[in-house]
Order: sequence, then structure tokens, then C-alpha cells
Amino acid sequence: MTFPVLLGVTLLTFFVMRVMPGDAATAIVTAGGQGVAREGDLARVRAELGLDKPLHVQYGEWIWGLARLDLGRSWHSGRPIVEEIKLRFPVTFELAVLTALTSVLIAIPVGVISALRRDTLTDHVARVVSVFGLTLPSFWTGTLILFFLVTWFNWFPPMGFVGPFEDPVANIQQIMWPALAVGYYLSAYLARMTRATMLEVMRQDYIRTAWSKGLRERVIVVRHAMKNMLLPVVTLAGIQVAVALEGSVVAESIFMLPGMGLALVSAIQERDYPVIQTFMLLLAIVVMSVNLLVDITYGWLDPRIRYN
Amino acid sequence: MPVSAASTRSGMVASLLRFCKRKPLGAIGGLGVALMVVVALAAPIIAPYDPYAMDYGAALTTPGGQYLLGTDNFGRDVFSRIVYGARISLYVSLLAIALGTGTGAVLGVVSGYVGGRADIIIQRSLVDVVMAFPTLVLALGMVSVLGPSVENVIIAIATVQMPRSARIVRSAAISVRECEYVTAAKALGAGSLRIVFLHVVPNCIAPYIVYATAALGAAVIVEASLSFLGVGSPPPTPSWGGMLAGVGREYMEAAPWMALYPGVALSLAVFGFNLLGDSLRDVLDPRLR
Repeated sequence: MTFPVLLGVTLLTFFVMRVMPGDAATAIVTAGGQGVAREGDLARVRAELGLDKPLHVQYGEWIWGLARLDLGRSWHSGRPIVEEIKLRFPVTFELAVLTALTSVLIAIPVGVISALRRDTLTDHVARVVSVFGLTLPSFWTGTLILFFLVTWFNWFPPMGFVGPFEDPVANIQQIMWPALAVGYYLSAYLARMTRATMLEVMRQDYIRTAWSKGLRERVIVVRHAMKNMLLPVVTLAGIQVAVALEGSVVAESIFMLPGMGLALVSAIQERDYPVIQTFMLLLAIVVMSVNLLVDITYGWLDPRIRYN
Repeated sequence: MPVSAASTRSGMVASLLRFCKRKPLGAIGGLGVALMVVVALAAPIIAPYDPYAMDYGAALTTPGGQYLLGTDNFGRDVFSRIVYGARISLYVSLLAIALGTGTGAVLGVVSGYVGGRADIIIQRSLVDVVMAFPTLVLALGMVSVLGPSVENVIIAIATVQMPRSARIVRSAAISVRECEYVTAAKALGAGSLRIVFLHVVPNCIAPYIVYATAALGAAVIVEASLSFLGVGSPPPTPSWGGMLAGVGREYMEAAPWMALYPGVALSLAVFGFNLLGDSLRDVLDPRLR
């Protein structure tokens, strides 16, 4: 089932980049619409980029290249795209992991406490905080974070990126703010889901049995309720990987973090189509792999579900 | 018939009042959305200045006095730009959602009711493929090729919204298809079109409206994100996302109002759509509660 979708994803990416109106060669020759395109320049650029070949040949060459992990070169820098990805992917990967961690660390305690203390002040405060998170897209939270850092501490997080193994302190200073901005936004959905599921679970018969056995609340919550609450929460967390990726595309631009997102945005500004095309495909593949992983995790979390 | 017309009108008012009473938060959300619509429609009356007019002499004026929310680095009135920004935001999200979820709904009904090969083709070749992309990434790619303009942003948002509404309407259509009253209608000799319009479509409307309202809030965010990244409505169009991006690090200390007020407007708009969507879901679609 995944393979045809993967094929469709490559076709759609290719279609968006090549078949839609808006010719890449004209854009390059005229530098984004400013200059005038001469026919000779156009033909030269088209030949250089292989755009004069029939579409199915272009598509075939791209796919054949992908199969051999030859992703082509950037039109802008002339460097192999593989090199670019090796440089950028670790940044986005670390950001995505920290984002997911932030989101879960906020959402699960908030959701669980909110459900256990239903309709008390704690619950209301927690719900308002999480509904508020839904209205704060990452670029807006990011701007707010920068604003408070600069007005309260007169400090901007250092730009660029230092690897976590070179200088962990600088690394965390750079990456925690975008992770917080995106993670808070994600935690809003996750906390709502956690609360709803927890309420559902706490009504089950086996929870009543656990209470009547005289177990302590902590044991009931951790050992009996939370285990059964995980399934829908894991599903949502998986779906959120896609949202986390788009959040980091934007957050990287605010915090000048040189990951895939920042590279994608500058590739778009430079009309560097091979880079855009490859990055779009790569991000789609990451989302699909996570969805597959979530499906597999189901079977592990809930032994009643079996795959053939 | 005047009598029945009057009774439906009072019926609508009564059900509206009942909604406000049962869902005060939803009513607040609805009020916020209505306010945004009014501001967008009456922008030329509300805005004290031309949102495009630059006045370098008045650049970076602090809020208060002559300029309610201050001016930006080009001396443009921030309040007027926010008011006109409501127009852009609403125009883009309404059209994009109408186009995207409308197409999605048609595909969903066909997919769910007809089923079989049509279902497989629509789901595998279209819905699954589009859904594999992070929405913003696909929208970014499309706008980068089409070129930044309000219309292209609408097309991009419509495309990324389409599969989700198709999924939701499809599952509603499938559940109707198996109902006994549909079998009964078939037994009475009703044609496919009659069944679709009389039985399937009415049952899909509630989940569709719930989804479309929530999607409006999401569309507002995607529009703002695209403008923020510089590929949405091209400057100097007053878009909330673009206004936030214009601040950058250099004006963050000197003129934070340039970013903070458009951001607040954005949050209020999304908050309104979310509250309304949540309450509509509780009222219209008991299955999702």
C-alpha cells in the first residue's frame, strides 16, 4: 500500500515543479521577473538544466538518480544536494526530536491532571492554556519569545548552529527556543486528546476494580489508566510529526537555524527547483515512514490488533 | 407561504439563541468571527489611514496619539494595515476553504457512496498522496512555482485542504450507504442521484460544516505562514504574516508593536474560528464528542 503512494508522491512533486505554469528557465534568466528573457539564453539554460528533454525522460532520469542516491546538484550553489542534506538534516532532526519531546512533556501531564481534576480550577486553567496554544502558530510564538528574551534579558540566542557534541551549551541555547515555540503549539492538540482519552479510560470497569482492590491513585493512574490511554495519543503524536516538520520550516527561519526548513525557504527564494523538489520529496517520505511506524506501534501497544 | 417563512425565521432565531445559551464559548467565537467579517467589509471606513501610504517622517512612531498602534519602518499606520489585513486573511481563507473542501466533499461523496474502484482510485491516487506531504511544505512548493500572489495562495491552500475533507465526507457517506432507509429507497426504485442528494448529502453536511469551520482557522494560519516566509501575498499587501516578518531582529527592540499587534489580531481570528468549530462539533456531530 505504501509503494503506490510513494510513486504518487514522486509524480506529484515532479508535476508541481515541472508541469505547472511558471517556467524555471525564464525565472532564472530574468532573475525572477526583473530582466528580459532572450531566446538564446533561454535555450542555453534549458539545455544546461536538461529541461529541453521530454518530460517522461526528465522524470525517469530523476527517479533513476534517486534510486542510486544521486539527487543531482543545486542550481544555485552547484553543490551536490546530498551534501546539503547531510549538513542540514541533523539540525532539523534534532529540532524535531526536541519539539516532540517538549510537546509530550507539556501535553501528557497537563492532559492527565486536567482529566483527574475534572471541572476544578486546575482543569480550567490547564484547558485555557492549551486552547490558547492552538492560536499561536510557531512563527508568532517565536517572535514573542525573541521579544521577551531581548526586552527582559537584552539577549538574542546565538545564530547559526553548533553541533550538540561540539558545544552542548551553545547547541541547547540555539535549539531550545524554536523547539519550545513549535512544541507548545503541538502540545495543545495532544493535551486535549490526552484529557479526553483519560476521562474515557477512567470510566472503565477495570479502573473501578482497581479502586475497589484498594490500590493507590498513583498506581491506578500510572499502571492501569495511562497504559490504556496511550494508543490514541501515540496516533496523534505520529500525525503531528508532519505538523512538527512544517513548524520547524517556519521556526528555523525566525531563529536562523540552518536546517532543512531554512534551506527550503532560501531555495524557494532562489528558485532552486532541484533542491525544492528533493526536499519536498524527502519531507513527504519522513511523514510516510512515521505513519508506518505508528501503525506498527499499534500492534505492540495493543495486542488485540494484528497485521497479516 | 408567508406563515411558514415566518415560522422558519423565528425557528432559526430560537435555535441560534439556544446555541448561545448552551455554548457560551462558541457564541463568543461566533461573535469574534462576525467582528472579523465586519472589520474586513468596513475596512475603508474603520481604517484611519491608507494602509499603503508611506510617510518616512513618521516612521517608527510609538503607539498612542495620532497613530493608535504606532507606525512601521516605512511610516505606515499599523492599525490601518491590521484592519486591511483582516480583509486579505478572510478573503484567502474563505475562498480557499470553499474551493478545497468543496472539491473534497464531492470526491468524498463519490468515493464513499459509489465505492469500489472509484473509491480506490480517488483514495490511493489523490487523497493519500496529497496527505503524505506536510501541508505547509506542499503549499510552499506550489506557490514557489506559481509565483507569489493572493490567487496562487488560495489555490495552494485549497489543494492541501482537499484530501482531509474528502476523508471526512467519505466516512459519513459510507455510514449512510449501509443504512436501512437507503436500502428501502433502493427497493422503492429510487435512482442513485436521488439517493445521493436526498439521503447521502444531508447526512454529510454536519461533519462537513464542522470540518470546514476548523479548517478556516488552519487556513488563516497557513496564509499567515506563507506571507511570513515571503511567498504569500506579495508586499506591500497588508497581510498579518507579512507584517510579523517585517520586524526581524533589527526592529524587535525599537518597535515591537510592529509585530505584536498583527500577531494578536492573528491569534484572535484563529481563536474565534476554533471556539466556533469546537462548539459546532459538540452540537452538530454527537458522534465526535
